[in-house]
Amino acid sequence: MPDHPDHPDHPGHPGQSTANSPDPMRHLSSLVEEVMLERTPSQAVLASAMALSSLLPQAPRWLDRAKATIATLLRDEREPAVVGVRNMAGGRHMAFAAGAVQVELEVDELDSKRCEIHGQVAGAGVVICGASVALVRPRSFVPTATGLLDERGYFRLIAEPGEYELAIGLPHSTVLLPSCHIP
Amino acid sequence: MPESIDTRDLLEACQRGEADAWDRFVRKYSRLVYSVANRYRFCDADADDVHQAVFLVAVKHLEQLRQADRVVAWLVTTAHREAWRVGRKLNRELDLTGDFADVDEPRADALAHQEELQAVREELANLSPKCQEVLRQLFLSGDRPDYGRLSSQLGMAIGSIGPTRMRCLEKLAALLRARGITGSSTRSEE
Repeated sequence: MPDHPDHPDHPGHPGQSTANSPDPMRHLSSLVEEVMLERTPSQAVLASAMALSSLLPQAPRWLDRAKATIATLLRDEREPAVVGVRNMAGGRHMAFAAGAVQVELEVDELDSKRCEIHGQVAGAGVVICGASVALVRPRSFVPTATGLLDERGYFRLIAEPGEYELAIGLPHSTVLLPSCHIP
Repeated sequence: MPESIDTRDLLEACQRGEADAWDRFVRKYSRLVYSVANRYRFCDADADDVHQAVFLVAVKHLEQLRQADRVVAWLVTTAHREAWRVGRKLNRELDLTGDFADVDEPRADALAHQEELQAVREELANLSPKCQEVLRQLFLSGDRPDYGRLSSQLGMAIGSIGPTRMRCLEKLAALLRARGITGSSTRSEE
């Protein structure tokens, strides 16, 4: 038994073992000990489990959420879903704004059956790189064209002319713009 | 780096298909799942199989994980079930007189213990790096730690190791109390 009171094993040492401590601290010490001594999975095992992310729910659920999101946006009178729409001459350049998010897009013909829609999504403080973007037929929520935003918010989609809604999957929300006719 | 992610937000992000949320989910509960397999003294390879099987079930049944406060119970029960399956393949008779009276029904006190352990795992990560190191070195040193060696390893005076340990445990206790875990023993002593 050590004589010096500063020695950790001295009975009078303030940090003495939990044998003299109230029960909750002794219980806590035993929990900490159990956690410290447990075997842990290897990095390879963790990586294998993380790779299961490929089985996570995919786009259809994301688009289901878009429906609820646009309904919520439209019901919010303080922040209408669409602040302004600009149609340039020829109806090929459109701009939308929903809250802090702005979208500009242009439509160009590729051939007699297809057109290319390219645009840019911008929003202060919104992390958009890698966000999903899709053209969906109104009320069907079946995507006809999907893509991803690059680090500048640009995207490019190819679709047949028709009426679509543009769905953008932003963090914590989905912006669904009202239908626009792609000439 | 400690992670403090609301479980409900994490589950919703997983259910939205966010891969980084799934990674955080795996890191958060990996040791919990592994600890259940280890209770049956599986070798590493078999414990690894149980671990993968549990997360495979989890990713396929994310919709069932709606209640954030039931995640630990769900994972523990699923881990036991998968351990049981692996044990049967190995023709091993698993001892069910311990934590689980029935393969689908963990004992309430065993489940409470697992929930306490999970809370300790999560809150240990929220302690300062110094506290984490002090507790790690002390608890890994066994019943009679070499305080001289610990003093030089931790860069602390011998006399301050004990009080620092106590302060760190008190901080941990405070973090657990904030989660509603009082630290009273909920398991009968064996």
